[in-house]
Amino acid sequence: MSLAEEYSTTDGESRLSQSVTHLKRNRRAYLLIAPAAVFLLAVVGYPILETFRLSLYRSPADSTIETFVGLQHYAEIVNSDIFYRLLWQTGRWVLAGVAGKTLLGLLIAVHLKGDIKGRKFFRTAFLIPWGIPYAISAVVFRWIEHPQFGYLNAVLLKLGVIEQGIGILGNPDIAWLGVVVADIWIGTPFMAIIFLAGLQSIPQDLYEAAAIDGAERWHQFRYITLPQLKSVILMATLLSTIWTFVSFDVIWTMTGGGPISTTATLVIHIYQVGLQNGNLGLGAAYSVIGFLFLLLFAIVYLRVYTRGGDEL
Amino acid sequence: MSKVSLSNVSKVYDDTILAVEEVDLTVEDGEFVVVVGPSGCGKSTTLRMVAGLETVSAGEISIGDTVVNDVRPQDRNIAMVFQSYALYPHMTVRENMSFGLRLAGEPAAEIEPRVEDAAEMLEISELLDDLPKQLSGGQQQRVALGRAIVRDPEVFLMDEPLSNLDAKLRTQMRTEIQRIQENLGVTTVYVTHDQTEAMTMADRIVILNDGKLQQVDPPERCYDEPNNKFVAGFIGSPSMNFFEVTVTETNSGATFESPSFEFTLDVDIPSGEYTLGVRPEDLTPDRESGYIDTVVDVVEPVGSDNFLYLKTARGSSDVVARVESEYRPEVRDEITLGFETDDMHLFDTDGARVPVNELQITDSA
Repeated sequence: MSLAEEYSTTDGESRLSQSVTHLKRNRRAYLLIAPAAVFLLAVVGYPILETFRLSLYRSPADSTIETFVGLQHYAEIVNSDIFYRLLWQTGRWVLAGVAGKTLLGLLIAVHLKGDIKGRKFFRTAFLIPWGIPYAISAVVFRWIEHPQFGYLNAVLLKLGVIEQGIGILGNPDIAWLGVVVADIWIGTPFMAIIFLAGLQSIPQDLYEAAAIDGAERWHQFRYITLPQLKSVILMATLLSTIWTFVSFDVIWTMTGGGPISTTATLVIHIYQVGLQNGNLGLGAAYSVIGFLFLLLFAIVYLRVYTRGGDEL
Repeated sequence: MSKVSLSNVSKVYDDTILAVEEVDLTVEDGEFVVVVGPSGCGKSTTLRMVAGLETVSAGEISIGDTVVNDVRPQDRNIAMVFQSYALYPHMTVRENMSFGLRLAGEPAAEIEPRVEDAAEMLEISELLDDLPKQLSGGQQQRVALGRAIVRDPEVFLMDEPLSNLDAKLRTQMRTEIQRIQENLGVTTVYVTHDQTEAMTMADRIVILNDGKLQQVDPPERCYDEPNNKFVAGFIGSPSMNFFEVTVTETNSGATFESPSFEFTLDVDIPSGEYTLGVRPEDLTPDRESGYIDTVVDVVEPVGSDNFLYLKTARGSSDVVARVESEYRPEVRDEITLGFETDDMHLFDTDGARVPVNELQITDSA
C-alpha cells in the first residue's frame, strides 16, 4: 500500500490501525522525546493544574486545611475594584515597556547593522544591561532616580529643567514611569540582538534593488526592513509581552508596588495576596486569570499577525 | 536612452586591493555591451559602479552628459537585474514591478497599464498576483526583467541575470533578452562569466581580466583577432591550444620548434620566442600535410562534433581538437594534426598579439 493510499482511508477502524502503524513506525522518535515531555509535564503542566485546583479552595498558608469554595474567589475578584485597577496598571506597564523596548531595540539594531566605527564594541556593550541581574539593575535605577542623591535629579537641576529635586518613585502619578524606564533599559538589549540577527538575514541586494528603484532610506525601512523583519518582531514582542507581564523583580525592588499600589501589577498583587497575606487560594485564582489573559493574548496575537499578506 | 562612459575608472578596496584599473569604455546609445571575464576580474564591480552601488575610487562615470560619480543610485534613472533577482519577497509580482513607479509618485492609472504591458511582453500576465516564492526560477527571472522594463530607464544594467537558470531556459532567455533590448533600444550593460552569452548577445564584448580591460570589440573580432593570449584563451570553447615555440627565419619561411613538434611554414616572421595558438576547431586530422603528431587520449562525442583530447607524441603536451562527428578515432590511435596558416595566432612573450598583417603570408600550407 502506498503512503497516500494508507492515509486516504477514512473509516474508523483503519484510522485506529493507522495510528498504531504510525506509532510503530515512529516508536523510536517518541521514545526519544519522552523524557523531555515527562519533564515538561512535571515542571510546567503540574504547577498549572495545581494552581487551578488551589484557586477553588480556601487555603490559608499557615494551615493544612483546605476548604472547597468553588468559583467564589473568581467572583470575588471580578467584583472588586482592585482587579480593574490592577488590569489598567498592568496594561500600561506592559504596553509602555514592550513599546519602549521594541522601538529602542529596533533603533539600536538598525544602527549596529550599519557600517559604524567600533561596531563590535557597541554590540558587546549593548548586551551588558541584559547580563546584569535584574534586581541589581533595579537598585541602580532606584539610586539614579533618588530625589536627593540621584544622577537624574542632578542632571535635570544642572540643565535647569527642574528647580528642585523630584522624587519620581515616591510620586503616585509618575512612579510607574520611573520603573518602566528601568525595565526598558534591562529589556532592550534582548530586542536589539534579536532584531540585529533578523536584519542580518535580510539579503543586501533587496536594499540595492530598492535603492535603484528610487527608494530613500525611509522607504527602504518601511518597505523592505519592516516586512522582512515581521516574523522576528512578532516573536520578540510576543516573548517580551509575556516576560514584561510576569516581571516581578524590577517593580518589587524599586517600589514594592507602591506608592499607594500605583506601580503594582497583577503579578505583584498575586505575591502580596498569596504569599504575604497567606491567602493561597485567592492568589492562585489571580494567577489563573493572569495565565488565561496571556494565553488569550498569544492566540489572538498570532492569529492577527499571521493573517493575510503584506501590502504597500 | 543615453550613452554610458567610463573614463579612467578605478576601484580600490581597503587602500590595497585594486579591483578595477583605469577602465576606459563608452557604451553608445542603445548599444548592448556584454562585460565578460573570469571570476574576480572586476566586471561586477564595474557594473556596480555604474549603478552607484559602489563608489568610484578614481576616474569618471557619465550617463548621458552627466557625470554621476556623486549621484545616488536613486537618482541615476537606471534599472538593474540582479543575479539573485532580488525580488521583494513580501510583494506580489504586480507590486514588485510597480514599486519604482509608485515611489516616483506616478498616478495609479498610469502605472497599471505599464505593468500590464510589460507583463504581456514577458508572458507573465497570469502571474501578476502571485508572490515570488510561488514562481519558478525562470518566472522570477522574467519578473526581475519586468521590474526593470516597466520603469523605462535610461540604462539597463544586468549582473549575471541568467546564471541561476538551467541550460535550456538560459538559451531561451538569452534570445528573449536580446529581443526585448532590441525592441526597447535601451542602452544595456550586461555582465556575465559565460562567454557563450557574450558571443551570442553582445553588439560589443568588453573583456576584463584582473581589473584591466583586455579588449572591446564585436564578438567575431574578439574571436578572430584576439588582442592577447588571455582573450584568445578565454573566448572560444574548448579553449585555444597554446604551444611555446621558437621561430627561426629561414630561406623557405619560418621554422617552428617546440618540445612537441618541429615544422616549417611558408610565412615571414622574425626569429624569436612566441606562443603559437590554434583553436580546436581549426585543427584537422591530416596525415599528409599535418605538423603535430599526437596520440588520442579521450574521445568525447557531443552530437554535432567530437572533441578529441590528445597528447603530443613528443613532449606529451595536451591538445584539444574539435572534429566532425563522423570522424571517430579509437583511443591510442596516432593522428597527425594540421591547420591553415591564417587560422594560427601568434603572441609575443608578453602575451600581446603579433598581428596577422605583419605575418605577410606568402603561401598557405
